[in-house]
Amino acid sequence: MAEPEGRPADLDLIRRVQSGDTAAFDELMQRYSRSVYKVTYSLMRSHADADDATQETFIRAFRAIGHYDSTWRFYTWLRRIAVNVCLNELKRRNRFRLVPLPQSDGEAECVDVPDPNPTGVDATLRRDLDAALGRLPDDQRAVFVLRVNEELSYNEISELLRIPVGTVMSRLNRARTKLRELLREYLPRK
Amino acid sequence: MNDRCKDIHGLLDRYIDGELPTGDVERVEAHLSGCAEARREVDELRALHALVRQVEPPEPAEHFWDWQRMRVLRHLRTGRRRSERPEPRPAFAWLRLATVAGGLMVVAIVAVVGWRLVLPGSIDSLVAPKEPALDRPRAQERPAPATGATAVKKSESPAVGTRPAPAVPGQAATIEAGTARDEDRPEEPKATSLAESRPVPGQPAPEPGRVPVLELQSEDGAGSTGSIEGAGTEPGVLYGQASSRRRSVRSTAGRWVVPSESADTLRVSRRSRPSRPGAGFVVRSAERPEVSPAPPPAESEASASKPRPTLPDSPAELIDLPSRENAPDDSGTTVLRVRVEASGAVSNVLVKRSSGSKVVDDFAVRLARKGRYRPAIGAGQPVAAWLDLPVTNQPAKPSRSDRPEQPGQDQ
Repeated sequence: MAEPEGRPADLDLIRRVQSGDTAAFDELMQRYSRSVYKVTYSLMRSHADADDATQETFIRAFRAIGHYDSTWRFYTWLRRIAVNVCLNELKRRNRFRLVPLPQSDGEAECVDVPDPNPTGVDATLRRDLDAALGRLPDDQRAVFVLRVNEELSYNEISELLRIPVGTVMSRLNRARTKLRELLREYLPRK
Repeated sequence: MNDRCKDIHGLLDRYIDGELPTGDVERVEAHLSGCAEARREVDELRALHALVRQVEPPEPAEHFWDWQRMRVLRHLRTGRRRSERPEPRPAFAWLRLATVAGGLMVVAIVAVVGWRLVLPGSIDSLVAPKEPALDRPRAQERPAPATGATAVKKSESPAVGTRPAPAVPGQAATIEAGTARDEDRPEEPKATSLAESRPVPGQPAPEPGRVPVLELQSEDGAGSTGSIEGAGTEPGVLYGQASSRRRSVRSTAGRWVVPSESADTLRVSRRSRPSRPGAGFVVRSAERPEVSPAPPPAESEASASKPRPTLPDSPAELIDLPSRENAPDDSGTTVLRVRVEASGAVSNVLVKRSSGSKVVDDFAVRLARKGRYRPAIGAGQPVAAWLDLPVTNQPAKPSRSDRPEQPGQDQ
């Protein structure tokens, strides 16, 4: 991410944070809060969960910033933390899901309460899209989101999620197939 | 769909993701130009991507981001867990080491100060050579009022009479007063104080020409919160509770430090009830020009340049106390010290020994303030002097209690 004129580079801010400057970390949060929130919302599909995940992402980043590798872009490093935070949280939820939902197809299933007061012309679309993405298994949703929303390559997704590229492609294919069924009414008719 | 179509369909995902090699891209595009089903497939996948990208996450209110950052920062700043702090850098390690070292120094200082507070004898033992002079009769101990000096009492003194002599010499020291300004010559720097000769740990050194702090300590060693004020260039043992109008000081171990500006008048009180009968405070002056073996030059010059007042020829006397209306139900004897000015007016009343009842003490003070007195006579002229005035409150026998018991005179 190119820095606008007059703004310190991410690396300068990171060095200051490593020296104990909390204000520099505040500046980094100002730069990347929205981007991190976008990732966490795509994975968690609820504002409250995305908010919690974003907060946890920055807390973990602050803790680990002493180990930050400057060869990475800061946002890439931050996004990796965010994805891990979300997937860990989703795994934790699945681990404690003791009673399957009725008519479950055997795959992990999320049922989220829609955000309050969705307004605008795409309110219905948003609700349906959230519901459709929520019905995807977590691992498929993560791959799909990283590919479509974050526009990561297969290799990047593979590295980020520590899975083979073939697994990335298969999960991506299954996610697309299922989403096409769930969102058929919004897609061009065959 | 033939086998060739199936092969191409298997590449469509990677084709729209841009993950196909150039040769495969050409193959797919060539197939798309002739296969409507493959084109529909590609269109649908692209539409799906567009649909998902079209719906951005809901944009929270603008203040949400500030609020979120604030929560994170608060968590980072207030987090107690070590793991929530960033990895220590070398600079942090030194800082942490310096912090720990500073903390240890503070603990050591507090320990030393606390030891000195708990064991007042250790302080008194430092001035042991001065102690014998304290056994002299009070009239000789007490400095002349014009010098503004404060006389000294030992706790085993009969005048104190409230606690036995300590087993360890020097541990009787209870309240140590720095010194007092001369009421008549407020501009003149006064004297030697114990606070000067034995600086209090943690207290700034007194400014030249200024009266240093007063240093007071409760007799029973118990910590209490109290107040100090009053008029006192006089020595005395002050018991019980008295009102405070000037300045409150707080003690952690019964040792009180009073700013110098309140040292010209001195009254000691405590809000908590003495832990045992007789426990109270002894005011001990640091300024003892007649007993000090080596007064400082400033004191010597001041004393030499100005005549010392002499004792009055006759003491002040009580003429009459007002009627005891609204006397409290409690009974008890309060020993007061009443300052009788040359005009006969009362300028100050101190509680020298409490009756053990605040109500009785307050009543005695009010009564003494309304009394009529005959001033002391010195060199044929009325002079201001102090009068020891025991006042007994016995509601059952008011006629007897109206008379003071053995009134004494002090200057």
